[in-house]
Amino acid sequence: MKGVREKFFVITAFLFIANVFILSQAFRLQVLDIFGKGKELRRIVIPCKRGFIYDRHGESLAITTQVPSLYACPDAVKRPKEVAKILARILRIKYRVLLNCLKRRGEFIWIKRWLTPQEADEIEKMDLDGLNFRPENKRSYPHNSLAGQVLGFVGIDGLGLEGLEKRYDHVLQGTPGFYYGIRDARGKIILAPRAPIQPAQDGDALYLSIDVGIQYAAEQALKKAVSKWHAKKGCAIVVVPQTGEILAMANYPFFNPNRFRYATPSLWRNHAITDSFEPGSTFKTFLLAAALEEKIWKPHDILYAENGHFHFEDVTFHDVKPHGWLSVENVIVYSSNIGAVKMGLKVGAKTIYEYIKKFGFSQKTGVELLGESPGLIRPLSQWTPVDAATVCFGQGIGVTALQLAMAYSAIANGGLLMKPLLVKRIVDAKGKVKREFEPQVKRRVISSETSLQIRKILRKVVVKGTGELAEIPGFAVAGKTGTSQKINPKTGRYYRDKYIASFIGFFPASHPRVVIAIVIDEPHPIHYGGVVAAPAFKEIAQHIIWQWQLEPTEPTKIKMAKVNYLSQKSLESVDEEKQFVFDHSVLQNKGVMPDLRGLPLRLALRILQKMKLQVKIEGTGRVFQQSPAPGAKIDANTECFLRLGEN
Amino acid sequence: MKSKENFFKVTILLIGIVVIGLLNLYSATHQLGTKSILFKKQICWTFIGFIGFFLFYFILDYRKIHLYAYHIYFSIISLLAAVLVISPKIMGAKRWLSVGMITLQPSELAKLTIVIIIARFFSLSETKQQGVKSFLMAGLLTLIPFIFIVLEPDLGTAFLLLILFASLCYFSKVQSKILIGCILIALILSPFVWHYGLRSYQKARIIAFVSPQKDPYGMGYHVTQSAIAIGSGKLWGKGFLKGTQTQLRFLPEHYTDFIFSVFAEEWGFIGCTGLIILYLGIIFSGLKICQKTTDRFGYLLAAGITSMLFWQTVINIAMALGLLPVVGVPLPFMSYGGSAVLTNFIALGILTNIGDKKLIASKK
Repeated sequence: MKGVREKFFVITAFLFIANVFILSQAFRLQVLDIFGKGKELRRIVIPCKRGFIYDRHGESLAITTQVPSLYACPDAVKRPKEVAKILARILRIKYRVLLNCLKRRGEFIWIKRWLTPQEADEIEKMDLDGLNFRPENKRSYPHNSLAGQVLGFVGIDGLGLEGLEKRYDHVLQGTPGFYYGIRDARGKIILAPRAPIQPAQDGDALYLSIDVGIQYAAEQALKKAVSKWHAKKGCAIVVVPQTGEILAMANYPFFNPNRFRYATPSLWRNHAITDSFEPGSTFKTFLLAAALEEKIWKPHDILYAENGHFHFEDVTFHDVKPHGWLSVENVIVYSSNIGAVKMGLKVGAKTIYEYIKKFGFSQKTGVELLGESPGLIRPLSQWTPVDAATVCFGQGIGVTALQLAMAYSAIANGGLLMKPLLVKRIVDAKGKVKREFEPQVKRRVISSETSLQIRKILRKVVVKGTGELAEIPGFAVAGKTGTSQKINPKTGRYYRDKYIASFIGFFPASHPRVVIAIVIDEPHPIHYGGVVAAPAFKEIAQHIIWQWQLEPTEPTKIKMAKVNYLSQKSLESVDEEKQFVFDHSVLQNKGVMPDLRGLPLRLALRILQKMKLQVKIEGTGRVFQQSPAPGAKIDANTECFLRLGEN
Repeated sequence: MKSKENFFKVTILLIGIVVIGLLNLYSATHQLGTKSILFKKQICWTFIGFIGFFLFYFILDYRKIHLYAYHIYFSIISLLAAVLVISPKIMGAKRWLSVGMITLQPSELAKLTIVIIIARFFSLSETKQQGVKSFLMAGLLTLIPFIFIVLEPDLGTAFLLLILFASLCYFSKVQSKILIGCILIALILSPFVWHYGLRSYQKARIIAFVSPQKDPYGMGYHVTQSAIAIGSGKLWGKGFLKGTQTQLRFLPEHYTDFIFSVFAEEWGFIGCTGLIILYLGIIFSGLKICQKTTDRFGYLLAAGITSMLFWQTVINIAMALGLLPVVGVPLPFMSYGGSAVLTNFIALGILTNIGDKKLIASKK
């Protein structure tokens, strides 16, 4: 074929040219970057969402929502006076301030950030020129003041300023994305090729060990105690002793992080960790721990409590109630200061100091919060003999409520001091667990035998000692009361009328499920821990029993009385002392469901009638199932359900 | 043995492109959720494609095609007609025929069919130059599928058929006055086509090509996004599976017509150059085969197939780079699409079959 050679030459040339075109265009785009060069690139930030905070069950405690903020382009506002008037009415901002904003020249000025939906609605309806909305992230706390001091709050610029929000700011924040844009002819921004998009990375979420239900119960009980006794403030902590998980950490007065701007700094302080106070008698437990663990004293050794007055190194110690001869056990049960001092003298300052240290006092507990106080224990070398004596009943030292709760946890769980666990895990925006916080044992403080001995003694405190008001029939509450005078920081002397009342306890004594610490600051007219703080403990404990549907661990007095009912057949015929004990406890425990199982229907109904409860019945014969469970918290509206059957 | 040289060369280049193509398609689709099944489908089609490739190289003599050219032609025409009649509209166009699990796109098959039928038609004429009569006849043969495809509407493929026809005219020596006459007629007619023939979206695409910055979020979106994606690859690329522009779905249709943008973002200018060299390798092999074939039908068929691959590659890449308006022409062996894969593999099988001199010698 003729001309084929030329033809192929032409084709090859064409091919070559086409590819040169293609490659030169690719070169222009990829290497020379025709889009980016010579044009002004603007960095545009893609905002990221702050991570949520959840309780242990995934209930939201802190969330991030998009809320419109109002801004103005003053250049585009036509009649500033009129607009300012309208805005002043809707937003309740001073007319003058608004007018100044609107009269300024420029493209952008914030009018009000984070509008309420009503405000945004009204302004939108007005359809004013030169005003515009921009969605902004807003942190909100759906449970308002619940655990407010623990959560802290976030400032308007998105930085965590207090509490967990501050402590975990770097985790919650996330990384904003950005892209580079070029302005096109219309002033709109288009993407630039050389600098691709960096997508925004939303912040990680925190799952706390806090349980919303228990936290709420703790706060309500605390509120009740503080207001009933006209106290200044108070805090309550609920801890799982085996793991150190904090189920609740409440402070009263409450702080609502949604309205942090209207709160004073003292309100958002988490007193449970930042304030140290003199613990008073609750501290005797650690003296007891040292004495028993070192085998210096045995529970049934006896000592002489000097009938309420004891002179030691030109100081006189007093007991509230004078005692004569007391066993070591009863020193704790009846909370004798003189007894404690005498125990301490034999144990020795050095050992006491060692044990105080071992229980974690004078060190931060390491809870995942900022601003924790280590408390104050002076070094052993500075202790005078009087100091060593006062430490025995918890004076002359400073501890935080959390330290006390953790130290009592060590007694409750068999002797291990745990690191408090407030944050359980960190989960990224896609739901992947990034970090899991495991329970952490700090050290063994006492042997499990000693722990058991102490628990038995603390149980007696509640059964017959100062902590009777904390008792919940069937659940073997154990604990210790504390009442201490406050020190006037100016004079260094004790106030005569300012006290701190506390109660720290756990239940059931054999296998404690929770440790609850209550500290009430300046209650009056009564200031005894057993009266002021113990009922709050009980209320929280009852809620936990109800929430977890715990079964009683031992026969209750009510159960015992059941036999009496069968023999006496009447509630009214109360003359024996045993009966009186029972009846009293029924009245005392109005809020608690009795155990009706095994009772004939008529008897069960009579009890419930006494308690003014509504009942639903199914079947015939004796009660074999009941709801609510025995020991559960009930009120006037509770409806009971009984299932009956033969046997 | 020397005669198989072409076959080995083409096979190696083909495998190279297919592997790159599949990796790239995986990158383009692996984050698409339900659409990630496209990758598995493409693997199946590639497998079938290879069977077709070997079948047409080893077993079928390309001369048989000469015999059955009209059968093939008319069955494709009837498929095209069937598309217009029975297929549902997908994205505003009727392009696909569903047969059981398989979806066919007859317009893809039509590309190869046009090459075959025109090659056969021109190879028949006795004179060395094609006269007016044979030119018009061949033009008519092109026009029938052209109109069917315009009606779908699939302007890109229809236009490609015209280009293939023109290429074959060039290879088969149509009298130059005819070609000049055609160009003149086309120029005169183009304003009328613009006014009456094109639909508004087709016009908008051409406007967008001329000045994409006019409307960067509307019609210019594709062009702008593609340029951004390719540009963000820079010299060395972002690396396999690392492309953000395409994987974040700024670029629609990135697994079919804009697959090159995905590749260019992840492999950069270096990768683009390499890929283009592979394509050039195949096209040069095709030209070589074409040059050495003495048989007239074989010569035209090889030329047509080579043009088909060349034009699709160049148009697709140029479109992705913003050098040509957006038209629906896939990139051979890279874009997703079963019919296209099948067509291109078979085309290469025929091409290498022609290149095998043993077969030609034995026949003559």
